Amino acid sequence: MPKLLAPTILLGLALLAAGCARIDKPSGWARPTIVDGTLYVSLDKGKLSALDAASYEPKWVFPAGDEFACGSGEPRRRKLDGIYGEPVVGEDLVYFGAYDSRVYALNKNDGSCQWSFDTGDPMVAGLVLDGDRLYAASTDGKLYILNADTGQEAVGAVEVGDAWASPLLSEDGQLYVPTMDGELWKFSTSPLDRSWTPPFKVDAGLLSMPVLGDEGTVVVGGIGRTLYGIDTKTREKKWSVDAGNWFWGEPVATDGTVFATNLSGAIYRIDSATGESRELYRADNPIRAGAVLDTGALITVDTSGLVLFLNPEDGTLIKDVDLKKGVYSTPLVNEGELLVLARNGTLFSIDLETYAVREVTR
Amino acid sequence: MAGATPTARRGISLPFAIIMIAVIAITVMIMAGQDPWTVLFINPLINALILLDIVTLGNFGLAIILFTVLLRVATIPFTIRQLQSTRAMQAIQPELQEIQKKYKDPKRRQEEMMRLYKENSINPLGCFMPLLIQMVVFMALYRALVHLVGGSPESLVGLSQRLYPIGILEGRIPLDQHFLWLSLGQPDPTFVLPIIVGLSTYVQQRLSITPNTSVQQQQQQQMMTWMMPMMLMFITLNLPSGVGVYWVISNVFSLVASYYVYGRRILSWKQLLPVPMEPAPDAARAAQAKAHAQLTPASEQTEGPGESEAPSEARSEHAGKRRGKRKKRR
Repeated sequence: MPKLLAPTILLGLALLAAGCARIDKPSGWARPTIVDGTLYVSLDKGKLSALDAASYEPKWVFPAGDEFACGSGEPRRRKLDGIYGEPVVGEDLVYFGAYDSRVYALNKNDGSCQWSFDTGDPMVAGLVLDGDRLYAASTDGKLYILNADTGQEAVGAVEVGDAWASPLLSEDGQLYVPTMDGELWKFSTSPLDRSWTPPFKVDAGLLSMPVLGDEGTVVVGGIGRTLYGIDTKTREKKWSVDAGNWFWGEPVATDGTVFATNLSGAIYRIDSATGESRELYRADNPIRAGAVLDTGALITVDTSGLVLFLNPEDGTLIKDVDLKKGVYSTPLVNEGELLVLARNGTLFSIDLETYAVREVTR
Repeated sequence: MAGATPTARRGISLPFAIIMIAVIAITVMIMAGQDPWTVLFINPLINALILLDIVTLGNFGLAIILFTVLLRVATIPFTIRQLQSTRAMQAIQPELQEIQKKYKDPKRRQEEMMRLYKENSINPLGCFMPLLIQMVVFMALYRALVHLVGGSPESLVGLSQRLYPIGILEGRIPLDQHFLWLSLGQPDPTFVLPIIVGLSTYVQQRLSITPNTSVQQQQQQQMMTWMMPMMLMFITLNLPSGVGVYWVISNVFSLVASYYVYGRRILSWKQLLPVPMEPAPDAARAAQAKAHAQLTPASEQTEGPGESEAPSEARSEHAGKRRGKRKKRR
């Protein structure tokens, strides 16, 4: 009896496990961006939409159908997978990296694909546009420098390591590239040259997009549960802040103060000169999204969809708004509204005066 | 009989102790507002797999294989006991059939069956423990792999909540999910792994068929021999490939364990052919059983008559070894 019953039970439960649980597909969490009255946002997995930033009327979606071709002579492809990095907008083209390993350049006006470039492995990091150069750090371990007009490699790719976080281009033309090898590279961009050799190095992967704090400090964090303040000149660590979990959301810096979210649910306020830190607030759920500052409020959203409006000085909760939808994407302020993209592709708008919520799309 | 009592007690008490500890731990977790399944199974498994990834120098496929081997080695006592229990169950089939024929009253029939089990030192639930362990690991491994090599940044967000704050573990993230032609966090699109899972399960099932059961039971076994591999193949089509790797290695280990218990002839290729085996006539087997019972002490009557040719040789040999050991102890 047990000989037959036991495997049957085992199989039944295995089927149950297979049916109930699911593999997380790469859906993307690109932060929306607004340029020249157009909102670029990934509302559907593997698709980029352009909407009128005032009316939220759709202008175009890429790809429009199930299959698409990019540029002349390129084979038709089926899907882009998720889009994680914020799109960047040039004069005529809008650029983004997709999880299908490619960098795409679309016509701003109609969304037609002008060119694509294959990096070989999924693109998670956002791109950096600097004049006619487009920097793309891929999970294949290379930093690609592309001609923004043609998509051809302007300079040979540079080995940096598996990159998940968006690079930062400072005003003085320095490019900071964090990697999952725990390294932060610094390049001068004209001509491209490694400013730090060897790079700043820690034991665990760096996941958050770097930000510049006070003059001479670049701030970056990651899997090692630590946020680092690094001297931009000497590459030496100036300070570090330990937390309960990973730093993944983009920190925000203003007047020598850095605000950083953490996957433990904590939000930190750090003096970027001294590293003196304070836990401003602790949410019940992890926070993947970065923070934004607007009209005297520090705003972020936790993974459960609870939008937090905090006093940036003391962390007092001004208001919380529960969207009841999971959120990984950093919110965006648009003309008195806060735009929050949920994981299921719903775009919410929260009035920053009344906190009234409405679904812009879905 | 004297020798049977401690064995039976041990057979019941160990699983019972494990279950009791699990129940207490789960209760404590629930009272603390934690998800016991995640805290007790998935999180330790995730961290153990990362540790093994370090041991295997960053080859996560090898880490899964090493994990499977270590787990199966750690559960060898259960596995051996299961195989012995199965073999003993085969041996007492004639007597069980006799009891079923003889006693129409279900309560009495049950009592007699339990008496027979006790006399032969068989715990009818004994074979559940390895399967229970397999089942728990199978499900936990699936969830662990979804987070570890789920193949998406979203899976890493989940992993961040499950990784222990140990620098050496955090330094391994993200894990390389490539192994041979597989992406360990994703189902195998080439269908090769599901086929290997199906084949290895078929072989394992086929070689563990008990030939001395009734026609009805044989039909059921034949059905399971096909159903199990087919279903596992189907399941593997939809699961991370790492789970399939675990299943294949586990099957190979089961074959080795069967070889150890049943002997060399377990590997007869004839047994792999889907030819229905004729059950031995009940009466003949009953007579053999009676003769065997007269010759063998009660504690060793698990080596019943009427078993297939292949296991019987090994069984006698094995029984001899056990008798020798017991003598030594005395």
